[in-house]
Amino acid sequence: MPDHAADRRAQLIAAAASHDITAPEAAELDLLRASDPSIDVEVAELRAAVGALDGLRWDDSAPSAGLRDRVLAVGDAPVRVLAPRRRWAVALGVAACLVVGAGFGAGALSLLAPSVEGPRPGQPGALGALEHVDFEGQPSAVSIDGSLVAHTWGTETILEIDGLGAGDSYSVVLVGAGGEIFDSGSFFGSTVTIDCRMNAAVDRPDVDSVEIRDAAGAIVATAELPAVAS
Amino acid sequence: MGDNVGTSGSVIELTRPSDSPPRRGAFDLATEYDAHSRVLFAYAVNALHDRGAAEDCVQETFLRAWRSRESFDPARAAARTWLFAILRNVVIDAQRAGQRMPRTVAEDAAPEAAAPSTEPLDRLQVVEALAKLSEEHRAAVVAIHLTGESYAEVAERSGVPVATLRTRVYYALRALRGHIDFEEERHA
Repeated sequence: MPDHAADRRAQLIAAAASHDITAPEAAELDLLRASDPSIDVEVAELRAAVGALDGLRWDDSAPSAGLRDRVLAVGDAPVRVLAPRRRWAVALGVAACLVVGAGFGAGALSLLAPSVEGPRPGQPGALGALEHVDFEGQPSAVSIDGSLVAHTWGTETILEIDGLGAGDSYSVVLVGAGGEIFDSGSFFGSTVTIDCRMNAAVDRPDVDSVEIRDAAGAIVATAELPAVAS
Repeated sequence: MGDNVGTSGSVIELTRPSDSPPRRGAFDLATEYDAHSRVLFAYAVNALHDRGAAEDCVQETFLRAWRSRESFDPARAAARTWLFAILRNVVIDAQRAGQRMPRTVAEDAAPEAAAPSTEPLDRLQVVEALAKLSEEHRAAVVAIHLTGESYAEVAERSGVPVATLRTRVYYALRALRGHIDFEEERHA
């Protein structure tokens, strides 16, 4: 059975907490307050809750229909080949390559610098830790400084490269124990240092090596990785 | 619940009742997605302000849940509670990754002021509390306290009486307060 007194009390408190109350309602609330000191406490608590909302904006949209298919595919996949689209991976793979040198002044570099301190060195496979990797097989004129970072959504590859053919296209792939290939991104060679961050949708424990390949698919350099526990 | 002025239902969206008690390890992707994806996505998209990243987080959450489904015990926690626990970590990781990503456009060079791309942790608790409200309770809070409409304006626009809107806001704010208090105690 409805409790009209409780409902009215709630309505008046909500009105007071919202500062959207008429004079007669305020007088009615004052009468209630005289016999119910908890009202003042509740108004204060609800105003504090309102304060927590300050500056928030709300997107009430629904996820795309395609997300359901992607999620249900999780249960069908025999191996961890996920995500037909990984925006982080795409964004990182395409946009996060910098060419450091001519044409980029200090202002540009500061704009492009990470906004917070980057990952720190840690044990291979530790989430968020920087894992240095050694590349082998590259031509003697090519210098590659590589690192990985394990994330919950995949494995990030960080590369600093000098000496690859300017304008030539290269790709970075992560290779699983069974030879599975996980694309991480691509970039052009340059006459100046390339600084790249790329992601692949594979967990670090499932990666055995990192390869840089040329446009024909030939391996330019390989980094063998230590096994890590999943 | 006193929200009986022309409305019904819980303040917090509840999971659907089941005909039989769920057993340990019982986790059906389609069932759980249909039951929880909307509220999970609401949390993610309002935490990250990026639909694509939010969808990735939801997908990652279900992937991790699926991998760990044998450890899921419905007797200990509802599926939604379990999924939210996973999603919180995924979203925080995504935020950190986003902060590490290079900026390609200066904020002051953008055509309009850029909104913060991430929310601090205490803010995430508020976002989660709002996401967990029922649609009608959340809509009332958003209209009154985020959009800044008056009760009369919302009543005029929606056809919902002012008294009902106030009741919804009252219980929604109480639920919001309760969620924040609970999370603060959990992290204390």
